[in-house]
Amino acid sequence: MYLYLVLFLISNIMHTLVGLHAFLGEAGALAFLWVFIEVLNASSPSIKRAFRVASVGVVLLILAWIAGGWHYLTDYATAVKPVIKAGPTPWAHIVITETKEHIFLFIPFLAFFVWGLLHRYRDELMTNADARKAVLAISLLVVLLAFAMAGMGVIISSGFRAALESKLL
Amino acid sequence: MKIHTTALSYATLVSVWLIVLLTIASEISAPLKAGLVSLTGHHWTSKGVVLVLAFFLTYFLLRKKEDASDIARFVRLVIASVVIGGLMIFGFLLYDFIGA
Repeated sequence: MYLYLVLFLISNIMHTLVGLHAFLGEAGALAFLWVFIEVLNASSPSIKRAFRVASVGVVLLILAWIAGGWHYLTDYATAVKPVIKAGPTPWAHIVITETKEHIFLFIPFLAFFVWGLLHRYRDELMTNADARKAVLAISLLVVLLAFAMAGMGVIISSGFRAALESKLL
Repeated sequence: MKIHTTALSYATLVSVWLIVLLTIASEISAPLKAGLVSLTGHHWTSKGVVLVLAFFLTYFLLRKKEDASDIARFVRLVIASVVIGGLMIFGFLLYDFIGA
């Protein structure tokens, strides 16, 4: 009875961590999409909004890093990774997870770079085309990388599901 | 506090390339991976700690220098580094899997 309860709690914590990681990561991506749109039509109020949203975005992405890292080092390492590696698509872990866990690390630094540029240039973004393009380009890069992480997450989940199905069917 | 864009750009570039270097080098060199594990208990956590330290160390070391403000060039370098570095990580892991 207690064993089932423990397994139930572990499995729910695992799902919560994955969900939290995905939510925080995608919310962070949307924050930088918001920054992109605000800076695309740069005005003094829109730059102030962009800076506030970028600040929230940086925090969201750092929290996504912590939640994803916690899951990766605990439940994923013990319960998911061995199953995927023993299943029909071991590359889902060996190539995709390993790529995701490292390329993800680019994102918080790029997000902080955008925050720093917004902090440095502020209203100058209305007149300095190079600075505006810089914020736009790196914001878009953050969005694209974050959505690429979500895509890789889907592949990893599919690898886990395929491994479980191969045992059940 | 005024953000120093040159120092921030170099700090970002150093972090990106350090990720690429540590990822590939730790797969090739078992002693390096063991060293990273011994730092925090897991190589991935150690990489994160090293990156954060390298980022802030680079920023604080370079912030006294003149701010070149050539932001367009730095952004091109950062984007190229992310694309090339990302492909290097993916390509290495794919090659390692196919070759294994």
